Amino acid sequence: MAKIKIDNLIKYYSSKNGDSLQVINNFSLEINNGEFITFFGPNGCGKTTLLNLISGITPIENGQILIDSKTPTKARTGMIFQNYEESLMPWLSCEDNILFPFSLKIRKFEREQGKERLNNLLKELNLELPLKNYPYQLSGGQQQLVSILRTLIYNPDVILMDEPFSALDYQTRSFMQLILLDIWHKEKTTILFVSHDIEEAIFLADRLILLNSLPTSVKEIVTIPFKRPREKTIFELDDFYHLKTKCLRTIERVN
Amino acid sequence: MKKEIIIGPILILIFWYFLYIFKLINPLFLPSPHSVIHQFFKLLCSLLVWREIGHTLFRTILGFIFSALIGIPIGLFMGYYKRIYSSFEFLVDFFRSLPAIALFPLFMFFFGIGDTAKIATAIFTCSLIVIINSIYGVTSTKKTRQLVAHLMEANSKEIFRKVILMDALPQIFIGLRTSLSFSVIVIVATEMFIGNYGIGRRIYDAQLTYRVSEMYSYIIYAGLLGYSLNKGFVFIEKRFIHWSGK
Repeated sequence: MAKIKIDNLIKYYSSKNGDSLQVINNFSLEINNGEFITFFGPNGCGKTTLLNLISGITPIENGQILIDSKTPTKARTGMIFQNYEESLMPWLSCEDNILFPFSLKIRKFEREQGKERLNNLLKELNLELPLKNYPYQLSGGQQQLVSILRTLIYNPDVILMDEPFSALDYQTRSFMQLILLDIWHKEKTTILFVSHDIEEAIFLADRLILLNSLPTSVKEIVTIPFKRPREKTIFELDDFYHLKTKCLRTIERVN
Repeated sequence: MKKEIIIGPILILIFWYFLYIFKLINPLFLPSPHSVIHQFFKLLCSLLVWREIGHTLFRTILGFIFSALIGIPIGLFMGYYKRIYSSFEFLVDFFRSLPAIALFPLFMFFFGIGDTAKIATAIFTCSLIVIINSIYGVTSTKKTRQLVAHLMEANSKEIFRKVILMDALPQIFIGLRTSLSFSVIVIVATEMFIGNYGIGRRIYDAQLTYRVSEMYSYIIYAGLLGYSLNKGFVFIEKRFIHWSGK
């Protein structure tokens, strides 16, 4: 059974002057457990709205989303934002940021387990972070890593990522993509990843969802054929280049 | 501390001597720098000045503390419930624009001629400053952090306490710092109206009796008091709100 089932999702936004704008049209998609899905589409095509609907932040009016047969508001979702500075708590050390979910009433008695899980995660992933430092003392990549760990640690049913690496420089972005794949391999989490970088979208994904411009709907689903674990060297393959060109053509094609 | 810091004061002293030597201003109104400095240290040694500073400081701090206790909760509340803020926006803006001293005679009706009326005037002005900054602190918080906490299944109380309040703290502290400075201003001004002690009273008395060096000395004491309160507050603020502006 599918992990996430999106059925005929339709979303309108009403603007101030009373007009309504359709941002999502008949969006349907099934996502398997542990799958890495990337979304790629023109800017301002409602990708963020789509993630907000899946996370339960924006209420669903038409259509249905089920995550493990639960509605988004009942399911446990995690979201990684592009702007890590606005997502982390600068008043908390990195460790307290990552353990923030365990400072909440709902996980009041699990803080010790949380700490243990953090240590295991860092060991497993072979990562070192200055945990006692504050976020603003860390590099951008490290900060985004803190926010990824903070999400992983409470085991959400699905992790949604809204262009998480687009604020980082090229090298850091490349490095973070490899770390993310490593995390995904080891944690076997379902990840939905919005990207505006076609190479990133292909490199990370099991399936790449190409989107129509406003209103958003599925234009084409591309199954990525490259074997895992993937290395950055696949960027040099002819197949990679052809796939990339094909995807870009598809996006540009008018229906 | 930077070495350049003393250049400004030295230039001012030179300019003052220049005015004094060439008698550009009547020496009755502007005495020589050395006579003022002499008077300044004479007061300091006589310890008399500490009683005056003590009175002014006591009133200033009380006014400040009450402003914080009143202003922060009201500001947080109004910032959180935007409808309430909208209903009171005009009143807050109006009273903020009102020169506080204008209310002092009125407060003397209610609170008598003692400390209470002075402190009440300071509270009136300063709590409004705290309220406005707290409102602004809450309304300008980053939505993203609240969403993060919401997705982690924080309840609304936790989101307020652990996210919104913390996010608003830097702005609240800006309000507190401003209100501390205003508290000194209002207290010194009200002391000139009535009462026996306080820096404001000494300045006014010295002026009435033409003890001009003494007047200048007390003006400098008033300035030093405001300056050190502000610096002291910044010192605490930097340690406590370490993430401010980062």
